This record gives sequence, C-alpha cells and structure tokens, in this order.
Amino acid sequence: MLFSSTTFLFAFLPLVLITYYIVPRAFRNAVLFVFSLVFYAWGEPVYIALMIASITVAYITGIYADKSRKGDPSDCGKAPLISMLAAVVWNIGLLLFFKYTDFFIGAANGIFGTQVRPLGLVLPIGISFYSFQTLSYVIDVYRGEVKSQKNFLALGTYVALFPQLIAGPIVRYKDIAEQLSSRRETLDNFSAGVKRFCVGLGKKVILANSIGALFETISNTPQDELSVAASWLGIIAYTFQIYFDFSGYSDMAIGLGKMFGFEFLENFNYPYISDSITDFWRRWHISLSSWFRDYVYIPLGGNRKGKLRQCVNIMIVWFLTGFWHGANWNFMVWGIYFGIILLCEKLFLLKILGRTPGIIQHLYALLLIVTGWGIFAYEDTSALLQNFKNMFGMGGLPLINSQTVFWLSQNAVLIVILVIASTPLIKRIGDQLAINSPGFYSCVCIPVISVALLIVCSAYLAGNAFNPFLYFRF
Amino acid sequence: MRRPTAKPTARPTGKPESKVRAGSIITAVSFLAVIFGFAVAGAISPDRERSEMENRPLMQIPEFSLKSLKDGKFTSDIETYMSDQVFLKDQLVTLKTAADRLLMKTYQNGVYFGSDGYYLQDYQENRALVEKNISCINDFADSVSGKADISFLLVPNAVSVLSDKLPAVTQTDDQLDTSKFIKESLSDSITLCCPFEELKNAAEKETQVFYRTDHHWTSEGAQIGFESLMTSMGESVPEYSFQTEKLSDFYGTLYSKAPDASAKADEIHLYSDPENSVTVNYVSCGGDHDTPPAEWKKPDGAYVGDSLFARDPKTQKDKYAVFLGGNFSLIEIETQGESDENVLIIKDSYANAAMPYFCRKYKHISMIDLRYYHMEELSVSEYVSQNDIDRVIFLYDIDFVNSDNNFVWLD
Repeated sequence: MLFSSTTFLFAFLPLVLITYYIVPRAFRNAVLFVFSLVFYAWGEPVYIALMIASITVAYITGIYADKSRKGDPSDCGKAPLISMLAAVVWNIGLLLFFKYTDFFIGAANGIFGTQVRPLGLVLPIGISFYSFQTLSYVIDVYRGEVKSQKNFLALGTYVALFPQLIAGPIVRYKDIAEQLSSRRETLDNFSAGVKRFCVGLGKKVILANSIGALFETISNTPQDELSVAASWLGIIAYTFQIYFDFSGYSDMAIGLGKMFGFEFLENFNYPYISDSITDFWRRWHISLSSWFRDYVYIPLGGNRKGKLRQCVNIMIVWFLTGFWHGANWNFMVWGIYFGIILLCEKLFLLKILGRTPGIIQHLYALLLIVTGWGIFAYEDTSALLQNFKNMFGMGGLPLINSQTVFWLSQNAVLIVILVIASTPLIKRIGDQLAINSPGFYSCVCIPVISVALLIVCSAYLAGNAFNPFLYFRF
Repeated sequence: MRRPTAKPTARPTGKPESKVRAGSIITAVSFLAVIFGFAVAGAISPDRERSEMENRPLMQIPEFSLKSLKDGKFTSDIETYMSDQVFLKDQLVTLKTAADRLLMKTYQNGVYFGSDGYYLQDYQENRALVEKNISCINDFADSVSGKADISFLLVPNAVSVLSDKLPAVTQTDDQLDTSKFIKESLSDSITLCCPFEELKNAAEKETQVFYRTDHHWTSEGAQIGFESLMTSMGESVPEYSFQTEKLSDFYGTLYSKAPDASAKADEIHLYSDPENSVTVNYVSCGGDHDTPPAEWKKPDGAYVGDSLFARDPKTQKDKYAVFLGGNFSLIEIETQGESDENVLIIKDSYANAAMPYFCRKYKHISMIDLRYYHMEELSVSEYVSQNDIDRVIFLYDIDFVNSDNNFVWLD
C-alpha cells in the first residue's frame, strides 16, 4: 500500500489509529505488527512469508548470539559470530537471490554467450530496506551494542513497522530499541507528526508527482522532437522528482512514527543546497550512507589502514551503495561516479573548492548532482547515452524548440516553488513565526496548512493524477 | 521536530506553552476530523455507478476471491474503488483542476484552458495516418466513380478556428497544414470544402460556432459548414423556417477532461422545421450507445424516430447525443426536403448537428458511421450501387481524420 492513496488516508490510517489508541498499552505493538503485515500484504500477498521468515531468523540468531556469550557482552567469540554470520548470509542471500540473480544471469549471458533463462522474479517491495534493518539488528547484537530482543512481537514490529517499511528511512534497531518496549505517545508529538506527515504528503503528491509527469513526458518524447534545453529540463525535472518523492516518503514515515510515539532519525537535510558532493552525501538519504559507513566502511578498516586502503574502501562502499539502488549497470556506474568524486574531494578537490566563492561551490555540486541523476534515471544504456549526448549538444538537436518553450511555460511556477522548497527558506520563516507569534503559528498556521495540504493531496489522488512508485527497484 | 520553546523574548501575551498546547489540539483534531470524516462519509454515502462530471463509469466494490487476492487484483481494485468512490469526488476533482490552474497550467489532459471560458483540444498531426485515411477515401472514390458525385466537408476544429483564444504558448500543430495536405492528396473527383474562413468570420462576428466545453461544433457552426458545402458543390442553400428549442446546462467532453469550477455551461440549440416531417430509420444499430433512443422502439423491435432529436439525452450528461441519439452504423432518413437525390453521408459525430439542414435539402439521406459499419451485408460501395446513391458526402472533422483507424472499412 502507498501512503499517497485514498485507501491509506481514508481507510487504513483511521483504522490503525483508532485500534492503536483504544487497546491497552500492552497490545500496541501487536496492533502495529498486525496492521503492518496487512499493509505489506496489500501489495505483496505472497512475499509476506519472506519477511516473516527474515524476522524469525533475526529473532533466533539474535537470542542465540546473546545466550552463547554467557553474560559477557564484549564476547564476540565464535558462537556469536557464527550466529551473526548465519543471519547475514540469510539476509544477503535473500537480497542477492531476489534482486540480483537475473542481473547476474543477464551479465553472464552477455559475457560468456550462454543462454541461461532469467528467473523473472518480481522483486519483493521494500526488501532492500527491511533486509538492511534486520542486518543492523543482528550485527549490533553481535557487537554487543544492544541486547537481543526476547519479544518476537517487538522485533517483528521493528522490522515490519509500516511507516518505514517500503521506502525507508532505514531505522536502526539500537535507535528505537527502547521505544519498542516503552514509548510515550503525547499530544504534542502526535500533532508534530500530523504536520510532518502532511508536509511529506504534499511533497510527494503535489510537487514530486507534478514535476515527475514532466520528466515522464520528456523521456517519452521521440528524439527528433527534443532539444538541448529539453533534455536538461527533463533531467532537472527528475532531480526535483526524486528528491521530493523520496524525502516526502521519509517525512511521512517520520510523521507517522511520531503519531505512534516513535522518533526516527532524519533522512534528508536539504541536499540541494550542498556546496560539495561530500556535503551532499551527508544530507541525502542519511540513513543509507550512515548504514554503509557503520557496517561496511568502518569494518573494512575505514581510514585507519593507510591512504591507499582508505581509497579502496571508499570505492567499495560507493560501488555497493550504487548497486543497492537497483540491479542494473547504471546504478553501479552511478555509485562509482560518486565514489570517484568523493575520492577526489577527499584527496585535493575540497581544498581547491574552499578557495572559490560560495556560488561556484554550489554550482559545482549541483552540476555533479544533476549529472548523477542523468545516470540514475535511465536503466536503458542507449537511452542514457543518448540523453547525455543531447544534454551536451552532441545529439544534433536545436538548442531550444517551441515544444520546450511550451513545457517551460506549463511548469514555470511549479519550478519556482520547487526551487524555494529545496532550500530551508520556508522552514526559517516558520521558525521565526513560531518565536514571534507562537499562538498564531501553532493555532492557525500549522493546522490550516496541514489540513489544506491533506485536502489538496486528496484532490490530486481523486483526480487520478500521475502517481508513480519509484522504489520498485530498491 | 523542533517545537518553539518558550523564550523570555517571546511576546508577553499569554503563555506560549499553553498556545502551543492549544495548537497541538487544534492540529490533531482537525487532521483526525478530515481522515475520519472522509472514511465515515465514504462508507455510508451510496456508491455511484458513473461520474457524469468525468463522463466515465466508476469502479464498484470488487468481489473477493482467494485468487484475486493472491494475484493482487483484489487489492488494486479496492484502490481504484476507494479513489473512484471517495467522498466529495466531484468537488475534489474540481479542486485538482483549480490547483493546477493556480500553478498557471493552461493545459491539462489534452485540453487548453482558452480565453472566454473555451476549452480547446490539443491537436498533434499524425501525417502518416492522415495520408492512409485519405488514400482509403481516394480508393473508394475510384470504386464508385461515374455512379455518384463525391464531396468532402472537412471541418477544422476549435483549436484552429478559435486559435486567438488559445493560451500564448501551446504545442498544438497547425490544422491548416493538414487541410492543405489533404487538399493536395485528395482525388480530383472529390469536391473538397474546408470552411475555415467561414467559421472564423462567423466567430469574429460573435456567433458561437463551437461549444465552450465540448469538442463539437454548435448547430450554428454546423449550419455555416453545411452552407459552405452547398456553395462548393454548386447547389442552392434551402430556405429554412425553424423553431428553436434550447437545452441548457451542457458540460461536454472537454470539461470532463479538466473539470473546472469556473467553467460556463453551454446551451444546445435544436432547430426543427414543423413543415418538414422526418422519419429516422435505425437500420443497423451498432454504435456508441447501447440502442437508439428507447422512445422510438416499435413493437417489432425496430427503431424508427419521427424527429432528429432524442428525448432521453436531454436529461443526461452526454447531451450532444440529443442529435439522433448518438452515432450508429447505418441510419436512413426520409424527409420532405427539396431534392429527390439519394444522398449518402459517411461521417463522424459532427454530421449529427448538421442534419436539420441536410434534411431541408434532401429527401432521402443515408448516414454511415465507419466506426460501426463493419462486416455488414453490403460493403459501402455495394450500398452505393444497390441504393442508387446519387451523391456521397464525407463529413469529418480534421481531428477525426487525424486519429481514426476505421477508414479501411470503406473497402
């Protein structure tokens, strides 16, 4: 099920809220777990078995790892290690099998000229997110950073929790371990959750979907009707679409979490105002990059084993980060692309950039980010290359044509709004207002804007506007 | 979430904490009121069969089965059901258009929001298809040459006739290019009439030649088209003495594509001549409506009307179907018109509004709609020879020639 649907807004959400708040506290995890299973089964009635199996594996291996170290939390001996590795093999295995098998078969067929038939498996939605969450649990238990969860329902609630189940953020077990057993739902938190959810919904339904329609149109336009400006417009549209879609989902997840008393960490922090790519990756999908940092980069030795080793580690991490986004060459290239830029920045570029004016730094970062989305957006290699040729004037296209002017004219206001919404400007105005006139801000602005966003989003959903789900590949 | 905290510098009116508290209550309650309100209202309000506003059937509650659950059809049907039957659906759809217009979008779902409340349908030329369709018409002309005179009333659409009402920037193609191409490629044996100038001049003199909310021409537009055709054919224009009936509250197909609260309803003018009795015989009833108008059903099951206007659609959304009750495979009309010629009109829905004028002119009129005239007993050219057709008139709008694939049925 998607948050951006009338089924979620006007059936699922009211039902889960009312059930959650009328049952005694002791049953609240059970309510969340059952509703989360329904939420997942809604789109994946078969693959739900897989998720339950993953939870069970994590549950058993976690408890076993804890037990086998006989009360010494620093014991990372053989038994806990084996237990952790079993869970890692299970999770990575599942991910490899469902997500990557066909890619490897295709690649092998291409390289060796074999004729192995692809499995044609449908990727279970959200598997990349919940596998990583499960992994964070078993690894942290192994490292002795958290105690294993004895209550199956609590662990199940953690993995399956519907707010972050299908599009993140990747919530780490240790961050919400306490909240799973004892959390306080408060009115202030609930209302902050409402505000956050409505803002996220608006970002997804009004902004991302509208500009996504432009990218969709441009990428489906025959080559001979395009222009250089149009191919830039297309990729800029995608740049906005993926940010507002993804961060909108994260906002909705964080907001829903608050409604049920959870505090999730932030996942985005205005990534498009970055002044370098290093900065960008501190602001974009924070839960993913910190996951890779803590569970891949640092275990590989991080920066503690010499410069060369650090460079290798960085490239490994960014290759994996790219590949995590989808089983395709373009995602790999996209990861390596950022790996190389980050390396350069680390080695010398940041120093040079530091001496240039701020505007140059921002333009530098934006250009590389947008170019990166040009790699990310096209899974078809020939379309990807064609688009780059078009963007850089090698596609034999006019600089601009009347069709492009039309697209611009239809989306000009939207693009201005998108630019403003990509910066912290609106938040700053809100914060200022909250200080200067707290009553007006909390009693008028917040409720009016939240409800208005909710209703306008319902209008877009009822009007059957373009409403894609971008994370089938993740 | 950063909540504003009470600072000593905050204005000294009341306690900020209590205001924040009150704000939390207002926010939470209004949010819950909306989601529970829509949930409950949606559950208790009766489901609608179709949306008149959007001119389409709405999803009904799906039947549950294990199989449909397993393959995901059940849940996706529920999603469609929930969005189709959402409470205040029509108002929400209108609100969506309003939001888009606030974003200064002048184009939605294939239509432009023109000036003076006109919806104008976008036109993207498909030269290959036009070429194919014209060659079908040419082939047909060859096959009946010598038997019947052939003419072609090619109607330009509002997007070109009323191009001054379009937004400043559009992506529409020029229909004059298409009509020029058609003129060049059409067989010399066919008399072509494209009343672009005539319609444009009339529009400039404040005659409403196209509906604001629908893609069709008005009865007045159709009259101009008819008279231009007569002039091109070298025929006299008949005298009319019409009585007028007006149908108000017409929101047409273009409105359905982008329902806007500020749209102004159209009026349909029905011109009938009390001196000219007509008999409308629905010979072959395949068409875009299940049956011809029910009021004309005879005891033997045949449909024979005594008017060009159906009573039923007057109360329905699709009010343009008032003309003949919609489009049907083959209709034969007998009138008290001036000329004894047997006329066959091969047509799209634009012809329907022009029938009052044709009926004043011709006694025997057949109308064939190639979208439905498939696998009939007689091919069109056989129909021409067996019914001693003297005159074949093609009546199509440019958009139709540019998009329809049924001209092959002329063969």
